Amino acid sequence: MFRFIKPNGVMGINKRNRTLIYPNNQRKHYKLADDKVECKQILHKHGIACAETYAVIHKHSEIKRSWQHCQQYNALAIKPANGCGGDGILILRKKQGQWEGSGKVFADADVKRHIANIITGMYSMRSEDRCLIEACIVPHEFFGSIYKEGVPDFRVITLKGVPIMAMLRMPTSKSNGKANLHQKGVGIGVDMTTGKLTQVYDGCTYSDNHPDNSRCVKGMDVPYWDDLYALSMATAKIFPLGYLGIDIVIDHHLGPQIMEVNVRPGLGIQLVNKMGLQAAINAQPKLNTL
Amino acid sequence: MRKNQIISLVLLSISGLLLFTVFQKNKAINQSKPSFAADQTYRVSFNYYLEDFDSQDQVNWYLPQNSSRQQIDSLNFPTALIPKKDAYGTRLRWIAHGETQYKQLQTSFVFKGKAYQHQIPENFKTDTESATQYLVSTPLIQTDAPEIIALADQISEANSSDLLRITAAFDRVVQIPSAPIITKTDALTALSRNYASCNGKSRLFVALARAMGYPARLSGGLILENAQKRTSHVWTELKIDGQWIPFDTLNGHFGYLPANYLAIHHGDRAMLSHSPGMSFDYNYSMKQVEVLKFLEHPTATLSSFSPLGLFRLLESGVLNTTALYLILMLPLGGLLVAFLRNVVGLKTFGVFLPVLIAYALFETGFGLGILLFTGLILFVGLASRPFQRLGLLHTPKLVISLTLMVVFMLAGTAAGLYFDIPWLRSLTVFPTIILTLSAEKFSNLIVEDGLADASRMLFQTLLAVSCCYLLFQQQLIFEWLVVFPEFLMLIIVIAILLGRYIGFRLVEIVRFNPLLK
Repeated sequence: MFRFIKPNGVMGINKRNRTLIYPNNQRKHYKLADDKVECKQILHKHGIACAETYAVIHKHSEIKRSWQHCQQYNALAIKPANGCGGDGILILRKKQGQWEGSGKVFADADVKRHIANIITGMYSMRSEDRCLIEACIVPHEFFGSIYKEGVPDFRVITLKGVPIMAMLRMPTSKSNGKANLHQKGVGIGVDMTTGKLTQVYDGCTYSDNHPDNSRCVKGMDVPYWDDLYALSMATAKIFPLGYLGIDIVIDHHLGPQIMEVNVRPGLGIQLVNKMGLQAAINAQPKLNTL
Repeated sequence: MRKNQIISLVLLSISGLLLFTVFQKNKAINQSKPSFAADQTYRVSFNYYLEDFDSQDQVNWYLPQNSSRQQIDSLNFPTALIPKKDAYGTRLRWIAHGETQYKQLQTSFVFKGKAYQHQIPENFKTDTESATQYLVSTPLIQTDAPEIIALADQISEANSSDLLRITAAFDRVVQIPSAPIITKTDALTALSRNYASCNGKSRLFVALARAMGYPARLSGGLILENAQKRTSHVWTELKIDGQWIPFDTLNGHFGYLPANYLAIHHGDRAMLSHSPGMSFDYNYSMKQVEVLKFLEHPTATLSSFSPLGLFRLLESGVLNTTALYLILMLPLGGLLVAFLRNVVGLKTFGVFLPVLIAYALFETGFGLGILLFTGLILFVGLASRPFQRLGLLHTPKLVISLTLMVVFMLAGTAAGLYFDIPWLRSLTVFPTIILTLSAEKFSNLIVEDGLADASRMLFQTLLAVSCCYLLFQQQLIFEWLVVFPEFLMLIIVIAILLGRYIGFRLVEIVRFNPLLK
């Protein structure tokens, strides 16, 4: 069908599902990536750089002791292991001995209630979940030089352990702190061979600058690009999943850190990089047997 | 790629073979198709119950015959009786031999009827030579009574053509109030009393027609309906250009008989009579049979063409046509939804929701159904919003939405009943649980992606519903599936091909347009 269209190496959902996801990702392994706790266990076990895990809470009886243990830190992130769409994530920082998050003071009881809600599955569409408490990443100044607000990250697509495409996702003034393309964030293409930023795509049009300022980002070098590239390769190798979308943030002190691993990464990255996934795969000599 | 090609080849040859054999069978069926295309079909039986009769006591009744507008199949009557033609039709006579306490006589058949509207010319030949018996005066049809002659002359003089004259006479008789009189009423009495039942009115019309010089006679039979009853019916026939044309002065049918009129005999004669002195009871039981065009064939014939056919299920009454329709069209509707999702790229609430909603639209009608569906989704989607803020667990939250949906449906139906708004009463035809899940999804989408995205998905769902509704309008597809259920295998084949499709979805061509130039 639609033979009159030349695909130019671009992949639709049908082709992605049938040629990338189904043959490379077995359903029984999805949870290794989807569940943040399982994912971090694997990352830690193989010494992959990622945020330090402060605590994993399974049961209500553990909340008190775990939260006591976390008092030694100055900043942390509380997340449901199986949350959807960023729901239930709480970033807390200690200021003058008090925990603060999104401009509000959190008393110990408030934090414990939030953790209890996570465990009862409130944010995960299921009857129970686990709570992950981990170190809070301090974004590298590189991100701030493009746009200061929100939580930006890199998305690297790997196929059979080979990174084939990458983009930088940045929030905008319209995206409410989120970096997702369909939530009005922008994507910035990355040249895989040089590690330089290419064009900015806002879902409709291309430009050379972030929509909220006029500084040109085209040609900017991604710091730690080689480390970032190597980190995504190393991460892809330790999961029994052949097709992954790996989310990476660059920490101010620690360099590239793995944030999340996705088994069904979206196709918008093709538009951001002005290149089809099939074309990117074909350009990789190692993958040409596909 | 070689494996793919082999699979495709195998699937295509299976479906090719299937299509070819079905095509051949269908051709054979069409060639032997009876030319009679009935509008309505009934199973009818005459039941007579006799007691306390003596030897040589009789029961006489008439048997319906085939004509251009009715067909009688599977006729069964007590064995050893021989039908005989007489002046009024084809008669059966049962004669008691010796004394028996109790006897039951049953005559049964399948009636297939069509409605037919005759075109009556402005003026026509009246063949008075050979039709003298249809022009004479009789004790009950007093053509020569002065009142009848006076009325006939008055109508004849006031109207210039044959058609206008019989129309005027017809209208004159139709406007006489009808009354449920069981006994025979003669033409003169009907005229003078100015009220009459079917037989009085018909005799009056025959008398007027004859007095104006048009050959006319009574005709009798049954009006078929899903019931058991004892009333028979009488109407009139006029011989126009050599053809007997029906007129029903009780129900106002001019040159027309509805499809459910079973014609049995003609002339001024009872369709059933018996010797006096015996104790006699009777009834006519009739049941409408749902028939598909293909099923005009006797089941035996169809079985020989299509041994897998599902018509036996229909005939047995285990499934009625509607139930079989819903179940047979389900896979086809599913296939359509799969196509809309994977080839067009529509996003819909619930995978098979559009199929079920399309079914509900049959009850409500298309436009109204779409409005009600949208209304239900919006109302429950919005009414459940306040509960979202309570941070409840997912399943109990769903129960609240489900309850709201049920309350809303019942309240709407009750209001429809109370204020006599028919469309409100049809709310309960919608599939409650699946609709609730959709409303929930809708309300979640508003939170996650905003009202614009949620409305877009609702619109795409409505689009898919419309496509399904259009598909389900195709009665012929259903009939094919009944006769050739092997087509269900073809659906599997198509689904396999569809499941292997890796091309773009239509909407992706728009999405990736910048890269496809």
